[in-house]
Amino acid sequence: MSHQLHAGPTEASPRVRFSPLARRHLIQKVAFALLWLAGGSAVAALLAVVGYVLVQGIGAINVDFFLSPPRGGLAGEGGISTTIITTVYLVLLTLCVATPLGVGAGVFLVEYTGEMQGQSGLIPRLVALARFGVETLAGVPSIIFGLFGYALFVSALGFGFSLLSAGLAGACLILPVVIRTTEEALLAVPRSYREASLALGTTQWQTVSGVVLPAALPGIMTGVVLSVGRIVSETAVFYVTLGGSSRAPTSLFHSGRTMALHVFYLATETNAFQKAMATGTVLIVSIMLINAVINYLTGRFTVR
Amino acid sequence: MAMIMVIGNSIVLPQPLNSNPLTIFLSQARTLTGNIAVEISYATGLHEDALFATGIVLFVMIMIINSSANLLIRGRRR
Repeated sequence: MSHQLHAGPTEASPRVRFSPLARRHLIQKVAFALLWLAGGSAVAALLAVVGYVLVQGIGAINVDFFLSPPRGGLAGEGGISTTIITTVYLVLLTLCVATPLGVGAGVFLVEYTGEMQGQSGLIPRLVALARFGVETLAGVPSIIFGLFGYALFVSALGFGFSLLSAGLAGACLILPVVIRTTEEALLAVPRSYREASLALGTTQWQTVSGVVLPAALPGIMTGVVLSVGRIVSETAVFYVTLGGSSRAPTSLFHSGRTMALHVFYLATETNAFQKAMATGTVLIVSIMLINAVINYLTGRFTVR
Repeated sequence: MAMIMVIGNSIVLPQPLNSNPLTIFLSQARTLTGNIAVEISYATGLHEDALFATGIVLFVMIMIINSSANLLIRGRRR
């Protein structure tokens, strides 16, 4: 009789079939509670980190903190004005280098060689190798990019510890991010767009630049803003390529320090724990703003 | 990089502090990344080369991990 009752949806999994309804409901409740616990503790951990930094740092924040440069010394006197300037410079420089390269590489991999996947021959092999390279670079720890930048830009090319070295190394760091988000954005553009455009007799470049890229723009922008966040929060790469001077850089070949780097120096080399936390607060708030921009862009992207 | 500030960076294998084996988690240690980041600022010559070698070890490890992840994904697809 019970066979008959429970046949149907549970028929596929014989282990469940014989368990009484009450027991299955209990298991469901326990599983649900555990999932809630996991989600809740993740959020709690996040709030704890953000909250602790905010509470510790908010006291040191005032207008003077934003407008005065770090004065250095063991006490970590001064504000963060020059580190904000350096961060902005570095973000702009990195984007100028990485965006054209990354978007170009993404377009190449999807629009021009996307059909080659799985084929044999030299060119498809090279393209597959490039894909593997992008995937590998995306998982490489940032200190490796730092070492690379230190060996190539700082030492071999003689740029020294400078904005230029750091910008180029940072561009290498975010290049995989930009390429992959560009690829994903392009793949999300319906095939019919391309077919419709090509059917009008356009060349492939006209299709890509006039139809596909505009449609994929919000997704590409998301990747770019994502990499802004990456640069703002990065320390390892700039620790070994940017030098760490607390003065505002006035040329590409000047050393500097970003906000994240300033937090690291303050926390490891001075007693100014509150200043480090205050800088951390500014960092967290700017990252939140960047994330809000990403959410806005992805919202627009998926609604379309 | 974040770990450098809290892991202690001493160049020993992590070992239990007393008879309780769980205290191994209280031991100081140094990661590959930490090794590079801590010493690169004053390394020259052979020392610097050794740090680059550390980078190669780290890179190879990442390549192996990524390739196995790729294999796993591909295995699922088929």
